[in-house]
Amino acid sequence: MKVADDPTTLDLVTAGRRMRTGALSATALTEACLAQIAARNDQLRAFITVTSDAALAAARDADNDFRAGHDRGPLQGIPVSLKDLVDVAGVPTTAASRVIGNRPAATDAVVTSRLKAAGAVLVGKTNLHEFALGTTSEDTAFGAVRNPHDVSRSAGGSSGGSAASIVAGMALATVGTDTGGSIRIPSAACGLVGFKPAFGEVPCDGVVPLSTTFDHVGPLTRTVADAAAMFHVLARSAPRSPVVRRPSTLRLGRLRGFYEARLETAVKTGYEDAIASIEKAGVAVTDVTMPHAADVAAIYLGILLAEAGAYHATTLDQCPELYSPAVRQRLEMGRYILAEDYLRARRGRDVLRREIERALADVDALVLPGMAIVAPPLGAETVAIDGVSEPVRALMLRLTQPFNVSGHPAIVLPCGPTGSLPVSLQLVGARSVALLDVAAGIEAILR
Amino acid sequence: MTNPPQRTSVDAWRDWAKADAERRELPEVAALIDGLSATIARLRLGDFNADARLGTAADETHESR
Repeated sequence: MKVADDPTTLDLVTAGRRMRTGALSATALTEACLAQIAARNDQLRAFITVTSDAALAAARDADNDFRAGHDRGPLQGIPVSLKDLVDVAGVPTTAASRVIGNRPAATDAVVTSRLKAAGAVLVGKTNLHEFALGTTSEDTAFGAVRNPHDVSRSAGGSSGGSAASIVAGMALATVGTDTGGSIRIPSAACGLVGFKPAFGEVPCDGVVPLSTTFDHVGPLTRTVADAAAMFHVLARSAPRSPVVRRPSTLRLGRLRGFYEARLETAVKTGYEDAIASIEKAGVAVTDVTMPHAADVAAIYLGILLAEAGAYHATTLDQCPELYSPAVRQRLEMGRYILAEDYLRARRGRDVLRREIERALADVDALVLPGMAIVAPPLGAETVAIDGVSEPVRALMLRLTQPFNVSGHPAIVLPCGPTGSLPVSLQLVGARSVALLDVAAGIEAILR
Repeated sequence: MTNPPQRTSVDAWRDWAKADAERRELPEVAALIDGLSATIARLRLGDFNADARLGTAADETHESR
């Protein structure tokens, strides 16, 4: 099948348009996605559970609804995957761990209910870094997720299976979670749009927590319009396609200093080229700074490790051998953080949030790279930048975790590749809907 | 786990955490405590924890660091 004829390569808005004209059926689209899963999942390890029968039944329902003139909106008949932290009634939620076991979830997570009500076709549960505590999706009980662009490399994490499922045409959209960058990091590694809404906009009920102060739920998609379609369903907000902002109406604040100090060469080149294109198109780009940027990692770790360690304390004592060693070690570290230091970190969070609000005061969005490195080789513990080796995990989190700390909405968009691997930029705003409009404008420039 | 010391400098915290991790036969965790102690030190030294009523600079003065 030619790529142009392959429905699994479509963005969801286009697929929806074709279904509404009768040129494509939800059943045919779902069958094509399930065929991609059957063909490539053994290699990519994108899915932990595939719900073929339920997906085909949902697709037939969607087709019947189309024929009856019942339109539930842009997700009707669209194959969607869900990170295996999100409960689907009757299906186990494993968190990619041996700790939880195979007991099926009793009820749907809130976001699952909303997707079903919108007519989405849920094709299965995707692989991840165990309990979402990692950036490479290698520490998992179900085999390391591989990047479809280069199977020797990581798909990013923790929502790595979600990202791989879209790139490989196994679904047209997916739901991930983002506690330090786990939607945006795999999106950057795989060349997708990854949107972390503002904190609290999308409910986390029925989603295995990592850090309740930082946990977010959101979509990974092929386009900004697709991300908006998913977001409005997940947040149960009024459906609205993003308005593509004209370049001359846009003002971006370019985060300098800390945020551009440690970039792999391919990222630096791709990002500089993207900024040049954006400026040439007429967007006003000014420099902005965040005085406490270098404190972000300490603030983040002081909260994240303590909250994750508390959540896992009982099972760390009862069945420590069931965790991946690296995940267990990080969780154990959290048990040593004193209450007074946790509270210091929470005060730091408030300061950082105010700094970002100040930085956003005179611009529509902040701009910075999506990730400091391209997708790293599987098994790599460090990456050298300017001759200095740094831990992969710290480099992958460096540019995304500030906005989990602050709770601001943030989105990554592909702006490369400059080589064989994707490069992304990131936009951060004050409000999700306005940020999606800005992102649609920038996407139009970069495509 | 053993109880942490009541009044902890970063050094005292680090010594306690490392000793406890070693006692619990978690040498990999003990090895990570040095790195975590840098995080703890940063949190304690950060001016966002200061309070003018306690005689230290308020967090709004960070630009003067």
